[in-house]
Amino acid sequence: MIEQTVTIKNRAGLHTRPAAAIVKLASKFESEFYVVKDGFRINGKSIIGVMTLAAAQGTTLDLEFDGPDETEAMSTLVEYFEKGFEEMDE
Amino acid sequence: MRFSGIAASRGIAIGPAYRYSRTLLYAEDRDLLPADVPYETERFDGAILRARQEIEKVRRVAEQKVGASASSIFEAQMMMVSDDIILKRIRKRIKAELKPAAVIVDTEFSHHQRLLQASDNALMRERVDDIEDIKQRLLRYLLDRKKWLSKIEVPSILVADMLTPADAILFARSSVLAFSIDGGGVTSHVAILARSLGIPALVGLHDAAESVETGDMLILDGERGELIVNPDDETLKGYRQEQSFVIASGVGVGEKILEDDAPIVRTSDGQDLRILMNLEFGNEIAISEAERLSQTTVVSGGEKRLGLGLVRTEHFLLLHDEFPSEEEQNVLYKDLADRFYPATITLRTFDVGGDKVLSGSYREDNPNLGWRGLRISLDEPDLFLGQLRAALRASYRGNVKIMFPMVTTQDELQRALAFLEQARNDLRNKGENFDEEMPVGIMVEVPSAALMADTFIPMVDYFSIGSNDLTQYTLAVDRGNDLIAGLFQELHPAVLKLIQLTAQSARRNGKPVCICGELGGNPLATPVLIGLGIEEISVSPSSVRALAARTRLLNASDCKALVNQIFATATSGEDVKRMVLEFLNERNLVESFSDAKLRRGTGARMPKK
Repeated sequence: MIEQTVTIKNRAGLHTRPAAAIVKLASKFESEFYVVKDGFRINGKSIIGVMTLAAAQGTTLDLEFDGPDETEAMSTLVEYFEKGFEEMDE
Repeated sequence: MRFSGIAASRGIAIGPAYRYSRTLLYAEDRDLLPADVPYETERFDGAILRARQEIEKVRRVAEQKVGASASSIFEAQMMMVSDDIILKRIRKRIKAELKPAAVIVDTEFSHHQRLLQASDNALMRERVDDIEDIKQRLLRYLLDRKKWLSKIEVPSILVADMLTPADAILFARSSVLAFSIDGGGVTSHVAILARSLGIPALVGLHDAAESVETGDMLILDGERGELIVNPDDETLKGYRQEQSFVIASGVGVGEKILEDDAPIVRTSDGQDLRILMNLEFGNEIAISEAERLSQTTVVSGGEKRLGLGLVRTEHFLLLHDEFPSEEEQNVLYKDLADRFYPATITLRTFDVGGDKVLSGSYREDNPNLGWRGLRISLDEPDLFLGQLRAALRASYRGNVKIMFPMVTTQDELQRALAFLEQARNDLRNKGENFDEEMPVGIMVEVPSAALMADTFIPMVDYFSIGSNDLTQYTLAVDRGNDLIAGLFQELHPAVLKLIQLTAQSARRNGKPVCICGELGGNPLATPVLIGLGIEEISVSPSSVRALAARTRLLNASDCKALVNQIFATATSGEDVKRMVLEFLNERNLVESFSDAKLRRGTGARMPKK
């Protein structure tokens, strides 16, 4: 299992559109994907779970990956978080 | 039984009630025999399948009414109802806990809702409703409840404690006669939408909905702001007569305005008034209606067709919780400019914040005095430049104007104009085709802008007065708060003085000034605005015909005298209304102004005659 910490960068936070995109991205990989916020752990392949995080701008999340393609999965998902879900204004 | 509320969209509707509320379903706990598990799981799978079909249907309607980008909310809902992690967990729990599918669905979804509800982020909390919608759809199938009426079978008056703009659009498809809503204020989005759709509406009724049942006979009086439940025969008869009068006097949408119609109408003594229309993106029905009106106006003597005085570009954010890209915007703007060509469309840059707060991560004590309108655009250069470039690119045929909302200081306007120049430079460098002379204006809706109009006018091509916000900021009244809706007097002399200052400043500099707030559609305001020398009024498509008809009946010199009299003696909005009513009475214009409330004057918002 590997993990990395990310921060929500975009102003609107982890709302419906990015939640849907995260689930779509994660579903491409065989590895299990979990997101941990304040000790609360959800399955990252569940859109309802990801939405439930209600992660606003500035929130820190731990992303956990476990499976044969975990390295690739982590770099793909971390990159999407780093880009602020492609909705950075500045 | 009578309820009084606020007339949000004019007209009188008589018909049966359709009580709209999603009575929330809950599953009752009971135990399952192990032998029942396969049957229960099958029922659950059936419910999921039907929920998917239903959401897909709503998505298709939304796409047709409001476009592909705005309908994406339903795509997300589709993903939620197809969330395999949750679905698997529910199947597993049915088997392990030996409880009916309904109970497990209820607890599973409610658990996620509680987590969301705990968020201190408003945008996130609203998602609770998205999950509720899915949970209720599933429970409905599992508990064998009747299908929600997604449309009204017989022409009815829709009665609800609250209604979302999306609900309003969906119901507008079927034969809804009027909207009666317990919450909201006169300038809430549903109210504005109802006016654009030409559907009578009352808001701020507080507790009417719980006293009304589907099938009750209703009179919804959008002239006086009253809802009458199960009226007696005499009341009904009186209203039927009045209704036929209102219809005959014609506030109907989409009719040809008058035989000799043109975007410019003339008072009886020859003062011109240009009529324009207000529109918002996301409201395809109103856009088509406006387009039809524009095309039926006569093009004579080189005069262009009926144009758009205010396009609220931010409006499709209501259905879609993010800003569109420059490309998406360009497609929207260009499409609108083409549809109305050769008439001009006036694009107002994003006016979010206040009651349309977008960024859930920000919470302000006074949003209306906070980060909104142009203030947001100036702080978000990429967003602002993207919008300006999209608008400029749509201007290549020379029929696009742009305007900035919420301008308060000179410095803001200077910075906005610098951004516009930067946007022009970006396009020049790319060799893009655009209108170098695209007119630029500001919304005058903050008292400071009206008071300092002389310093703003040399920097712009025109002024546009946003009467709603100007009233709100001048009288310190939150326009969306129905507790103080009575204090929202758009005809208050203080507001009229600011309008006068703005109009005089524009006139001295030979530049046009337009009124684009609700004031333009208020029949009592027409003589006042003409008297103030206003040359352009922009109203909802449904108000165009009535405004044109009223203008022709007025004499501009008389109206000027009325305005002088108002400034000499009036001290309140009520005074002004009374003086306008007297003015109309003396000229026998009350009947022709075709406004039931002018004749009877017993309405909640109108003074007694």
